[in-house]
Amino acid sequence: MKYFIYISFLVVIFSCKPQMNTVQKNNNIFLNQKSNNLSEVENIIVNTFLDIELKKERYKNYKDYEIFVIEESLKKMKSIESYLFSLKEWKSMYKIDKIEDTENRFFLDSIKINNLKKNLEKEVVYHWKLTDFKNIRVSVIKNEELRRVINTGAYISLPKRINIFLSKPLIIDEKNAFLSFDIGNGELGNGAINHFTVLMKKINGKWEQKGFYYDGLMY
Amino acid sequence: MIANPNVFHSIKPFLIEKNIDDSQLNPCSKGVFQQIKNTTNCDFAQVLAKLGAGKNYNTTMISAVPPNQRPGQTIRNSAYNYTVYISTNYSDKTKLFIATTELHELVHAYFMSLFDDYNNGNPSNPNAYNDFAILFQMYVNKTYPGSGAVAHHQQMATDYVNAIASALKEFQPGLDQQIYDDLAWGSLQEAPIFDTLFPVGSSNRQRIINRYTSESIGSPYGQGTPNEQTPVGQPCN
Repeated sequence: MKYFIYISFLVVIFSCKPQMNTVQKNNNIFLNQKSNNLSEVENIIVNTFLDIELKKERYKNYKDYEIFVIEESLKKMKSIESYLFSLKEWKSMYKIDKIEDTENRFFLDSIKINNLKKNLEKEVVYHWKLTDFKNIRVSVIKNEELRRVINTGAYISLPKRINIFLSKPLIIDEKNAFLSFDIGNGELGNGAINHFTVLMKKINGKWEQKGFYYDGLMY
Repeated sequence: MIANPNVFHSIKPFLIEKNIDDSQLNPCSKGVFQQIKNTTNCDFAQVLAKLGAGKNYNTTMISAVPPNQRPGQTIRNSAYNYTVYISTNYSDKTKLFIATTELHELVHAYFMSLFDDYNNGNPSNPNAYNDFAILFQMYVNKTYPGSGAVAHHQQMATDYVNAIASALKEFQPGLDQQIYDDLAWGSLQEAPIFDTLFPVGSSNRQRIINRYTSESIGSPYGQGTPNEQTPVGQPCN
């Protein structure tokens, strides 16, 4: 009897182990697909956004600065939060000259917003990689390292740089996506330059910046 | 900007007793703010007075690292409800740097309150932006080219640089006026007017950046250059 129990136990152990591995492996595959790579369209949107944004007049003083992307992405949920904040503020401006095109800028209904939020409930932080950036030369720095650089004042002895916090694109549909960003001046630790959630719109096959949503933050 | 700034001399003791909630500031930042509240600079007394003036306003100051690691941050949570973050990062920053950051952020909160006066007041105040043409353009006409943050900084540069510099002078008297002015400008480097007044490559621009940086790290900055600056503010510890 004693041997029977022992053998049964071993059978159970060995029969279960491969299954557990398979489950674990499948989960890893799922996580890889969800968090460790950009899809082709996400990659196009991110690189198009950076191409357009960094060529703006606003960044002319920083054209010779190195570009550092913070490895940990902003969450896509920030895009929704900025959209809602901006919408609420816009609605409250009852005296404002509202020429804005509601259909183009505030085009999401509450059902769509709730669906987007629900899909982002278990959102994981994406980790940016050098290979994500096609057209500009960037370095990737961990958020904790940036914090250390700022806290110790080490930024004064580093080459001049801009720091970019970036979310993965939140794809709304095949022609609309949100992307949140925050760009700071590394010469001052991380002085304010610009931050927004941008509406990227596909027009005639090309992605363009077509609107901005403000998150209520001032620096 | 203020029709009769002297009016605040008479009611200042009343106004400064009103509270901006600073209970969540760490001891050093709280001490700095308590000292700022005693400023007699009229322009800034108005800012403090309004933000702490009554039950309709809720301004809370917190010591924490803002998510994007700026020295300070202000958020409008809802109408008449603002939170000011003063970073616990920049560990060797001087009290003068903290004072500069607190004053800068409180002006942001003040401008946010104008937005609420105009849009959400009961009754609303159609004259809220009368003295602030840039904010008027931004929020009412929508003709101002740029973000709300740029508009705030441009308006701050237009109306509050001198007030912040004066408040800093009262906070730590006895320094060269240039130091107060440079610190007031230091956090406005993204305002378009900054580029106009202090073009890239100019000596003034570099001096401002060096002053601001040296106070943020509590060490000399720009050593070996004509614009080297040594911190004059006191350390927290």
